[in-house]
Amino acid sequence: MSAKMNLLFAESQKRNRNIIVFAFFAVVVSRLLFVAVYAVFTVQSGSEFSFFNDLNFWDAGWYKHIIQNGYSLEPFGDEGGDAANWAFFPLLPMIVGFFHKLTGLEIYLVASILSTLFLAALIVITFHYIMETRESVGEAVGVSIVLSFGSYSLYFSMLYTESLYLLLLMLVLYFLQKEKYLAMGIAGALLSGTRNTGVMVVFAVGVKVLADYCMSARVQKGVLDFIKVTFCNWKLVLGVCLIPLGLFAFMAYLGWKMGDPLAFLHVQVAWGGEIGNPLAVLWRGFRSSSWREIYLAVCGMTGILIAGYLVLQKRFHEAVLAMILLIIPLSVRLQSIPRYLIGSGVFVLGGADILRKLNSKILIGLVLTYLIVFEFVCLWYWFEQSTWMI
Amino acid sequence: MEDREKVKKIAAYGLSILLFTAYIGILFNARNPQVSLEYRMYYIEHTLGAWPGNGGLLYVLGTKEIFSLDPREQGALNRLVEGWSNREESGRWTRGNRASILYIFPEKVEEELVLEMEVVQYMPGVSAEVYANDQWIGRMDEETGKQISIPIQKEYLKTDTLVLSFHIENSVNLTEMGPASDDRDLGIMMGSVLLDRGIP
Repeated sequence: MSAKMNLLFAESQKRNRNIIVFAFFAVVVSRLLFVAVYAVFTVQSGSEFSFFNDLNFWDAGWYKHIIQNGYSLEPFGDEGGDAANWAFFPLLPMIVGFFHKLTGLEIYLVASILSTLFLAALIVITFHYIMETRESVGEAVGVSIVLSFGSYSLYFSMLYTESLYLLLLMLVLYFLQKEKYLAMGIAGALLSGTRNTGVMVVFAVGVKVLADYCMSARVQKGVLDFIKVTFCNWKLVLGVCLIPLGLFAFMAYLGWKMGDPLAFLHVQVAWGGEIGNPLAVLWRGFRSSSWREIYLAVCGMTGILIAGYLVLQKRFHEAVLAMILLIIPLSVRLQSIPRYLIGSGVFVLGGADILRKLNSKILIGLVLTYLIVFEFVCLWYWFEQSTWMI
Repeated sequence: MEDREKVKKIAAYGLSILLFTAYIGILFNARNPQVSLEYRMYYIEHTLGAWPGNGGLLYVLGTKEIFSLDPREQGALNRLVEGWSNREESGRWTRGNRASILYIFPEKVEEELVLEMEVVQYMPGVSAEVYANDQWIGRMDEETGKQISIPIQKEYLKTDTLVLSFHIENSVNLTEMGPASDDRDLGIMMGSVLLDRGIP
């Protein structure tokens, strides 16, 4: 099996084509399974078959509102009337809005198709990234299966930012690895215009550049030499400067439109939660009497362990990214942690690294089976609009 | 070929400096958001308990604001800054040692006002010193009664904003009076508040 896989994706002219075919095959089969689960759900619940409407709700509604009406001047959502669509970054609604106008198709249908295409592209780029950094076909295939069939993969096919965000994040990491800094900067600019945490990738870039320098022969020359080498690389300088462009363009727009460039941040008060100690949030979860809170705390703890393993593996930039992307949501609440773990990519990579290191086919089989079966549970809960899935 | 590389380099550094400067400019602009008072208080300073809407704190003199479950309560609900319990059937208790109400007038008030309050109940032994924009204007307790009228000198109204503060003395914790599940420090249950022009 492993030898066949290696042969299929071995360095050859057909390798790229095989990866693309594999990605599309995985995505199409997994999404057909979604439809099958939904069909069973509609029969069980007696509800009307309306797949794209039932797949897209909660935050999808906010994005739809932006596509239809743009950013609003006044808050209007939630019980207190204090929520607003400024919390949601513009790139995804811009892309979906463009194709919605171009094709005339319903917004949720366009969004689900586009997000699924982003997922296919994500699998292709992640495959290449793993081959570049880990040189393991098995790990690349495993991660691709997790992204398409695994738990919480449903978020990659709806009007949520997950698939676009992760695609852009992996592109940044891939171009960073290949030292194609201008392409990295452009992907980073789009990333920071997709979600508020997107700009954080700039720290991963800084850590990678520093780590590469420290591992090079020039390290003995000291700090001034590092600064000189870094700032003399005009592609790197421009690439890094490009990364926050999406965020700052959105801030400038909010400042012009409603007078507050940080409105996307300030409006978070509508969703409640004060910024606090992430470890305290985690501890509260473990001590909670609610199974959901305990499960979320276990997910958070798993994320910390994976980030620690990435450090041990000297994948410092991935570890830094993992910690930042975990600590930000964990500082407020445990809610949505599993979604962030899957949607941040680096945790999936780190988890796959651990399994590869353990080299137990039984364990790998068990983990993959669990993740795939749990995806069906997630789908069911999602169609039921269960708060477990928020 | 070398010249082209040089031009690219200069353009890249120029663009990088431009981007960096723009980011600093946007961040600087973010320090002073041009937003309504309500927005600033609710979203940035977190000093309002509920979102009143832009302009939602505006108060028209002569409006009696009811503190009970009456649906007309909305105006008062918005402007309660700190120290108030949830509304109840007949009014709303002050909670803790200090309770405040914020009034924004459409324009600067340059005349004496009268503060008229209907108290529903005092907790035993509780009194309150009343302040307008940090200036003492009166006292309220069982002796002053439940219908209270306090003048506010125009000197205390230098802007279009008035903060009424009640400094509660001897607030009562129900658990101190006997077995109770309610552990709030209660003072005065307010029924309604009205501000109007003083008699010329």
